[in-house]
Amino acid sequence: MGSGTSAPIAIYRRYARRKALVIMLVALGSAALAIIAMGLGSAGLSPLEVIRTLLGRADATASRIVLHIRLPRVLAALLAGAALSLSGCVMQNLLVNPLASDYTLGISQGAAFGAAVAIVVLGAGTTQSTTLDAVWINNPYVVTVFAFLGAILTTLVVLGMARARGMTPEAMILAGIAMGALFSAGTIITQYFASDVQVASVVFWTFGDLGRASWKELAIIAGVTLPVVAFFIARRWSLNALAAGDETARTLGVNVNRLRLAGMFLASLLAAVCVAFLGIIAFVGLVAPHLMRRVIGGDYRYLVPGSVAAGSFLLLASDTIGRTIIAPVVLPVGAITSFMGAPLFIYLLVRGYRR
Amino acid sequence: MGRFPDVLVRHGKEWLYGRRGQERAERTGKRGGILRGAGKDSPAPATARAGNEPSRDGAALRVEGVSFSYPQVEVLRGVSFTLRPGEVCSVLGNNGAGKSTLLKCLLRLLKPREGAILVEGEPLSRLKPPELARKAGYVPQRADGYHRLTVFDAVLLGRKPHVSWGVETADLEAVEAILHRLGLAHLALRYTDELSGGEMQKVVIARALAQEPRILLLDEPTNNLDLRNQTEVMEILRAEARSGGICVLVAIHDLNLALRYSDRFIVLKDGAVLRWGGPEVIDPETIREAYGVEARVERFGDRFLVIPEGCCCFEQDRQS
Repeated sequence: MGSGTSAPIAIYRRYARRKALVIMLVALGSAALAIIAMGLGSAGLSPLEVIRTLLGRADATASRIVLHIRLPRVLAALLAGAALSLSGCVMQNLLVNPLASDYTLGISQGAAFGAAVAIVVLGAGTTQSTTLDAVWINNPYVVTVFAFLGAILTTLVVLGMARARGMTPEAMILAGIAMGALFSAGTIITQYFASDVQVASVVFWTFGDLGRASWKELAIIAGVTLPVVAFFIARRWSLNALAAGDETARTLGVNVNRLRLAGMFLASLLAAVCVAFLGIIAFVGLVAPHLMRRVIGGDYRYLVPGSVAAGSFLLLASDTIGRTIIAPVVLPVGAITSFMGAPLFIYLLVRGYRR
Repeated sequence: MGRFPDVLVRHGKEWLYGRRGQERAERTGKRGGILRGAGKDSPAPATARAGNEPSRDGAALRVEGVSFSYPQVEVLRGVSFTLRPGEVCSVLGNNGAGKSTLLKCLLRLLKPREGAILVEGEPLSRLKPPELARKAGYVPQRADGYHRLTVFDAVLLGRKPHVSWGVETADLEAVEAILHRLGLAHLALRYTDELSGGEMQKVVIARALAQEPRILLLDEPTNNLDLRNQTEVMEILRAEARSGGICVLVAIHDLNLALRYSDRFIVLKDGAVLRWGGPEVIDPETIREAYGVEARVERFGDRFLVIPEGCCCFEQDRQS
């Protein structure tokens, strides 16, 4: 209001810079939080010590703790947060549904079911490992592929429903919840048939945990996430066009069907690869993009990188809280994100999600 | 007031001599409303044929015998007309007459069953999507979406067909110029979901103009707008048509608004062109046939006014 009619370009440039600055601050915040988080735990390290350890100038004990336990965990949080948030961000756009995300559409549950089938039935791992973990993954590639198949199956159902006439956003989410319940039941049953079932192995997929990602799995998550981020950054204009409606997007030269199909495919892949190794981490894909939308608006040129940064920050913060709030007990990160996400989800359902 | 009756007549002839029009007249018999309509202005013989292929120069938009049907219903039947750069053309007809369908065919949102559409001599069907986006701009009936996009960003979106990777200063300048022209500059950083209906409609028009299209198609752009905004929108369209040599096609219900701001008129009925030409085609007979309404058309200074008198439902029933 009252900003004058003199120079929209100047005002706009300032506004664009401000948005870029916000994204940069969130990214820097994630980096800072990562350093702090790596210092937290039973063997406390100061941020300075962490940095020294990362640079390889610390004693063997600190180095072992940081490089082998805490760094993979922090990286898992950063990568999975980015992947899930971006996945939710583009799903909300592609399905024209502000309630969409991997979790609310049942795609994560589909991926978990796929992973469970691969591990239990096909023997790509075992649910009764001798280690502390309930699940031991021998062949991460097979698990990824099956998680992806489960996710894609759900996605195809979602796309089919989106195409059906008269499907309101709420109805689509209800169907997603139904599918999520179906797949969760499938996962539990699969595990019952496996062997001496530990309760923890069921919990593994219902409440994701970042603690079990090793370097091998991190490499796969990164190998999937980074190219997909690049893809959506390249399609940022098309995403904007799609936000203006299918017909407008088509008259702006966007191949809407192809974008929607490819986009949903890749967004599901992001969710699948996270779920396969880390379990279901609820609501990050819903909360992080919506927070970013509030702050920097709905321009996908900024929202795509913004969601990536916000998701990383949010998941890392959640995991850090889960690790420290009642230490030495480590709460699964999925439980923490649910505590944040569920209220927002209800809020969005009840009012004002159109904006 | 920007009427070119002589040009119109010549256009009518040019079109009438076209082979397509001839074929269409033969195929549909007396339903060939186009012929009847245009023939009124220019008693051109419909028998003129070979060697009289219409000249391609000058026409911004040439539509030849376009038909479209959904699996069950035929929506458009052999629609033909031509428009010159800088002309504003109203597409008239009652609900379901095929106005929106015609616009969507012109945007390739729908694929015509037969017929040809040429934009500046180039067949629409051969253009690549980004090329088409630089030729034709669209303002849909309902502007949905644009969640949390600023006005500037919403208009900048129209630069998409011109941008390869990054936005350049030239794009920002183009947006700025359009915002100034449409009186939206003071709203540049407002979110579109906070705008009034009239402001939003202008933003969508600004976005379409940012594409720098050669033809601009609008589906009932004045619906749900107050008098002031209706007038403003139509004035913007005419000004942009004149200054940019853009060919503007407006589906519209308000006959008086159409008469005041358009140079050409296409009256559709049941998917066929009932009449086509300058303001003179809007006469009581056409209105009766197209809308089933008795109306007087009065000259008022240099303008024409349509004064509806009442329904003529009985007569229509008897005819059918």
